[in-house]
Amino acid sequence: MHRISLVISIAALLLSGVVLLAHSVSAQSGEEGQLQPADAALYESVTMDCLDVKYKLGEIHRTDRLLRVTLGEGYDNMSSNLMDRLNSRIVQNRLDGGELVRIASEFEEAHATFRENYTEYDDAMLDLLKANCQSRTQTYYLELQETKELRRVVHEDVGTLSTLMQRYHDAFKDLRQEIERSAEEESE
Amino acid sequence: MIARVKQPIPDDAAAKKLPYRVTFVAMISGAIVIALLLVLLSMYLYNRSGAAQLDLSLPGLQEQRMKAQKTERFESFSASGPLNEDALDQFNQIYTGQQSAILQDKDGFDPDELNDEPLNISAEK
Repeated sequence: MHRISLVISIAALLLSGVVLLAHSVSAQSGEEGQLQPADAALYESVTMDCLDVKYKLGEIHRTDRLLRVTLGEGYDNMSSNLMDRLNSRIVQNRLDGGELVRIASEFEEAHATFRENYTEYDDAMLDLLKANCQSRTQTYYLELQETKELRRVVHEDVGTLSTLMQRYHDAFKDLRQEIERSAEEESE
Repeated sequence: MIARVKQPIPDDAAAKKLPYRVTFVAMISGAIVIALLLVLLSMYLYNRSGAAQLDLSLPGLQEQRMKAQKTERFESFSASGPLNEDALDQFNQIYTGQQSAILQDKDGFDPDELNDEPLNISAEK
């Protein structure tokens, strides 16, 4: 009787331990140690104050978090509270808003791309903040360069979204001119 | 009134029935394991869904949390109604205001912030 309860308890604890261990291993960064001999030609020496670099990266990461929330909220407002509503109103008034609908669709796609790319960048940044840079300086520096590249992609996404917002506004102005022209013709 | 006498359980039936203590331990252990698995699943979904990137309630983000709460209430545009001069003016005003607010961060995520100089790194090829 006691043996069965003991076996069940041990099995439950082992299973919990295995699951926890698997989760912690997957959360760690990749290969440990310095670069392989074939990679040594990339950088002969990398000098950094590890704690200082991590502190600055942490500051950048905190700023990025706020910026992501602010921009995300702005883009959501643009898409759902402005573009979609104007497009709906154009359809209700039986006007030609094809260009506006196309740009709104592009904006939505670009927004989704921004979300995906930011998630990838944020994961890389979190890995950097958790990684050991004291004993694996060169590898850490290479990972930093990769994270910088991911950040550049997010930066480009922000530029794309800004361009689309301007395009939508330009198309809106064209539509407005058409509406005003039609109204003048009707009044004559 | 007939008094009911509890009959002793035969030996083979007693052997088939698990003791109360064993079932209790198994129940508690099973509940712990299931709870642990559900926690891991929820954490996985939290990270993969993108909610983690928008979560400012994490420790160390208090300053960012206070800044985020200061954003003004957004004036929305109605999805129905005529598209007259007033409606077009209203839309233009709201849109340009929102666009200006977003463009204040148009240089956000500048990759140059991760250059060697700002991080004080020296790397020789």
